[in-house]
Amino acid sequence: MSRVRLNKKLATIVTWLTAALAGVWAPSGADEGEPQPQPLDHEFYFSRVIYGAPSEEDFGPRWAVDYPKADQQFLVALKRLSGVDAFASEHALRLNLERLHEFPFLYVLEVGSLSLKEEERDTLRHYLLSGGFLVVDDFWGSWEWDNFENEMRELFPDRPLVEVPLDHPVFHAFYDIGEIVQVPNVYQGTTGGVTHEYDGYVPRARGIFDDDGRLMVLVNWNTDLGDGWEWADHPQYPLRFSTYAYEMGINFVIYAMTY
Amino acid sequence: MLEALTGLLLPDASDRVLVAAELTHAWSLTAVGFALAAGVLAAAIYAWREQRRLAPRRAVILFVVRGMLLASLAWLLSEPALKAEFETARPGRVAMLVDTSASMGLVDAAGTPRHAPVLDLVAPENGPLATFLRNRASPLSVSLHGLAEGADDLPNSAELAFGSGHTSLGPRLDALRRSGGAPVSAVVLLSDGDFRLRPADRQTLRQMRASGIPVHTVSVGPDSVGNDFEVAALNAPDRLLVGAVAAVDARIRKSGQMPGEAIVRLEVDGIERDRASVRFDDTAEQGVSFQLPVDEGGLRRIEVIVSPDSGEPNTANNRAAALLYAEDRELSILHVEGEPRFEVKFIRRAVQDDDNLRILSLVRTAENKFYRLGISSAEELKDGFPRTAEDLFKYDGLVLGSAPQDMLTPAQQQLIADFAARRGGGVVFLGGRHAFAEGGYERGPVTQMLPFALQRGVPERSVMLKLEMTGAGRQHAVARIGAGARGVTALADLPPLTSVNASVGGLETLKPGAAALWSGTVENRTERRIGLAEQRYGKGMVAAFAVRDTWRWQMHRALDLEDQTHETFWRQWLRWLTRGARPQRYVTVDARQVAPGQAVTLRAHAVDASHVPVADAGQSLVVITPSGERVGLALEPGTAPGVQTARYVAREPGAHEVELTHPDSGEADGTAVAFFDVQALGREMYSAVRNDTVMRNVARLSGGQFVSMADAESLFDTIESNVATVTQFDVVSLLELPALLAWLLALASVEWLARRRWRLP
Repeated sequence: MSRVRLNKKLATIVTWLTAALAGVWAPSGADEGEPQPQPLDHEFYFSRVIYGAPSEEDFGPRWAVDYPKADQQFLVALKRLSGVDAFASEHALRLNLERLHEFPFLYVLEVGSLSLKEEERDTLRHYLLSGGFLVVDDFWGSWEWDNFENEMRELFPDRPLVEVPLDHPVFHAFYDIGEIVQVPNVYQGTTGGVTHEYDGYVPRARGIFDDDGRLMVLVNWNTDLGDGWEWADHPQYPLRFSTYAYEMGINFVIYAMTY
Repeated sequence: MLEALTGLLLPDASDRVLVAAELTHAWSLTAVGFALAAGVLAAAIYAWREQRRLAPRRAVILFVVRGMLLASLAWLLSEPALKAEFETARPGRVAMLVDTSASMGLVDAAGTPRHAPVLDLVAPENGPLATFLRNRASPLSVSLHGLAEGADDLPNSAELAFGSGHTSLGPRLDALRRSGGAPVSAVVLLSDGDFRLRPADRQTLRQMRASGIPVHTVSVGPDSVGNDFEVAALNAPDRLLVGAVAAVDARIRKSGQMPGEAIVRLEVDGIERDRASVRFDDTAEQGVSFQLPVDEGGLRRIEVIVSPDSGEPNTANNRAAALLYAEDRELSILHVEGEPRFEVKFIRRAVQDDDNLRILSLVRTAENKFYRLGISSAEELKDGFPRTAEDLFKYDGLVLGSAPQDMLTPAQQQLIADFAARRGGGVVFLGGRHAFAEGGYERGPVTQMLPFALQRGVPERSVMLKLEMTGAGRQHAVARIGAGARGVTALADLPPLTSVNASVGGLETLKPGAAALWSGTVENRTERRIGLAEQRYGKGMVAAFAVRDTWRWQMHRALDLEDQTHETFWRQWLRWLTRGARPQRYVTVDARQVAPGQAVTLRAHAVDASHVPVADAGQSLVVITPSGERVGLALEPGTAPGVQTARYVAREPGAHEVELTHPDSGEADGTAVAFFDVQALGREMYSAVRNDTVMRNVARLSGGQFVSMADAESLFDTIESNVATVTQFDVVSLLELPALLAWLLALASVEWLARRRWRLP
C-alpha cells in the first residue's frame, strides 16, 4: 500500500468518525431549544419537531439527528438562493407547545419509531388542518414505513399517504425537480457505496392532502435530505446529492408559504 | 380745516357722518414740493434781476407776491383734490328664506300643512310682515326666497313651491349675500330644521356673522308627535357582489310615552331574515345593525320594520324599504409580494372557495424570479408586475404586500395610483419589512395614496399589536368583524398580530378624509398605532393594514377549525374595497327611490380598456317596468366625458330595471344593469317633529336670533335694528373751487397794480 493511498484511507476514516461524532447522531442531551420569543422578527423559522424522551438513545435523541448543522446549512442556502426572510439559526419545538401554531412549517426526521401521544396528535392534526405544513425526512425501509404509516393513520384515519406526482407544484415552486433522487447518508455518500439503507431501495415522495387537494404532509422516504444539507461542505460528499437536497428543501419552503 | 373745506365743497356733508378727509394729488408729494420750490425760485430770480431798479422794500414785496402766484400755479398743476370718507347708515334688505322641502308640506292631524303659518306671516296684503313694513317710518325692503336653488326674489308667497327640494344652506346664503340690489342686512330662515348642517354650511354662517349679516331662525312645525316609533333612516348598499354581507343600518326614533324597548325586524322580499331588540334607555333615537349574507344574485327588497305598539296612532312610519341588487360576477384580485410570505398562502386559501373572487399571486421568490399562482394562461404576468394600464386595469383589486419600492418602476407606481383613482380599483397595502417607509415608500404616487402620513427615521424591531375597533370601525360595513356573524370571532378575542413597520404611527397621522377602523395597542406598552385605515382615492378605495400576518387568525390554536374569521375578513374586505371597480360599461341612476311622476336621470358610462372615457359608445338604454314593458331611451351627451344621460319619468309603482344595450349586438348584456324603486314615499309620516337644535345652531353661528313660529313677530324689532352701514367716498377736484381762481387773480392784480404805481415795465 503506497503512502498516498494509506493517507487517503486514513483521511476517510477520520472523516467518517468525526462526522459520526459531530452530527450523524447528536450528542446526548442536545439542546431542545425554545420557540423564539414574540414578536417574531422573521417571516420563516425552520422549525424541527422534538419528540420522544431526551435520552432514550445511546447517541442522543433521534429527533436531533443532523441537528443543528443540517438546519443551519440549509438556512444559509435558503437565504442565499431565495428571497425568504428566514431566521438564520436552528429552531426546535415540541409538538405540545402552546405556540406551535405560530410556526407554519415543521421538519421531522427519523420517524421510523415515532410514537406520538394523543395530545400531540390532536395538536398536530389541528395544526395541519389549520394550514400548517410538515416535511418528513430520513427514514428507510418497510419496517420504518409501516410504523410511520400506522402513526399517520392514527393522525388522519381517513386520509391515506399517497404518491406525490412529479408534476405537483411542490416540485416546481422554485426549482424544477425532474426525478426523486435517493440522497445517501454521509457514510454511504462519501465512501461511494450503495445509497440505500435497510430495504429502502427506491426513494419516494408521498403525502397527505387536505380536502382541497393541498399538501399538508410531505414524506421523503428512503432518502436523507438532511445529510445532503449537512455534508454539502464535505469534499467527498457528492455535490449532486447536496444540490438536489437543497433544491427540494427550498421548493418545500416556497410551497409551504404559498399554497 | 379739511372738515371746513369739506363742508364748503360738499353741501350735503352735514347730513352724513364724516369719517376722514384728506388732500390728494395726481403727482407724488415730492413732485409737488419740487413744483412749489421751482415757483419760489423763479420768483427769486426775477426779483434779483429787478433789484437795480427798485428799492429793497419794493423788491421784497414783488418777490413775495410773484412767489405766491407761481407756487400756487405749480400746486394747481398737480391736480389737488379733496377725498372725504362718509359712513351712511341706510336701511338694508331683509331676505326671508323659506324652506320649501317636502317636510314643510306635512299636514297635521287637522289637515293643516306645516308651511301654512309661514304663508300667513309673509302674506303680501294683510300678513303681519306686510303690516309691519307699512307702519315703519323709514324704508325697509324685504325680499322673499325659497331654499331651493334659483327661487330668488319671488314676487309673493304664492310663488313658493313646496316639495321642490332644497340645496345646502351654505350655498344659498352665499348666493343671497352676493345677489344684486340693496345690500342684505339680515336673513330670516323659516324652516322645520329638516336638513343637515354640514361643515361648509357652518363656515358660511360664521362668515355671515363676521360680515354683520345675522341669520334669524323661525322654527316651524310641532315639537312633538305623540306616541310613535319611527324608522328614521335606513342605510343599505344598493348593489354588492354575491357572497358579500350587506350591512343594513337603521335609526329607530321613539317619541312620546312609548316603551323603552322595541323589536326591529329585517325582512327580505317579505320574509323575516333577522330581528333585534332595541333599548332606548334615555335616548330618543337608537341605531340597529343587521348583517345580511347575500348568497344568490338578483334583486331583492329589504325592509326594516319596528314592531308597532298598541298605543301608536301612526304606524306608517314604522318601516323603511330599499332595493338591493346582488351582482353575480367574478372579481380579479392581484396580490403582489416582493418576498415569499405565509400571508400569500393564507389569503389564497381564504378566498379559494369563493366563486366570485379570483386571486392571482405574484411572488418575487428571488432577485428577478417570480412565482405566479392562480394565472389563467402562461402569458399572464409573465413579465412580472403589469407595465401598462390595460394590463393592470384588468384586475378589480390589488394587494401590495412586502414589495420594496425599487421593485417597481416609477411608471408602475403611477399605474397603481391610476388604478385606484381612474379605474376605481381597490388597493390594500399590507405591512411587511419592505412595506410603507421601510420599503422605501416615503414619497411618490404610492405614498400619496396611503391614508396616513408615514413617520420617518423610526428604526425599531417588530412589535405585537392587539387590535381594537375604533368608533369608525364600529360603524363600518365590514370592519366590524364578529358583530353577530356566524362562525366569526370578535376582534377582541383574536390573537395579536405582528407589525414590523414603525413608520406607521398613531391616529394623529391620519390624513384628512381617512378613517382608522382598527387601532393597535403595542403589547406591554401604552402606545397606540393605526391598525387598519382606509380612504377614498379618486374613484377607488385604498386601505392600509399595518400588520404582516393575518394568517395567525387562521392558525390560532384556540380557534375552532370551522371558525371563518380569516376567510370572512378577506372575502368581505376585498369585496368592499373593489366596489368602485366597475366594468367598462355600466349604468347608474340618480335616485334609488322616487315617487310616481318624478323623473329619474339615467347615466350610461363607457370607458376603454385603459379606462379612458369613450365619447360615443353607440349604446342605448332600456327601462323595464314592473309589468314587463320595455321602454327604449335615446342617450344624450352628458356633462362628463364618457357619460351619456337619459331622463325617465316613472309612473308605475314597483322596481324598475335599467339595462344598457351592447353597442355591437344591440342586446342587453346582463351586466350593465341598475334599479330604482317607484313608491308613494309617504314622507309626511316621517320626521314629523321640528328640529330646533339645527335651527338654534344656525342662529347661534351667524349671530342671529332663534324664535318659534308663535313668536315670529317678535323678530321684527330685531330686524329693524339690522341696518346696513354703507361706506361712501366723495372726491372733489380743487380746480373746480372758485375761491382758488379768485386767489390767483388777486395775486396777479396786486402785482399789476404795484408795477403801475412804481412805473415798472
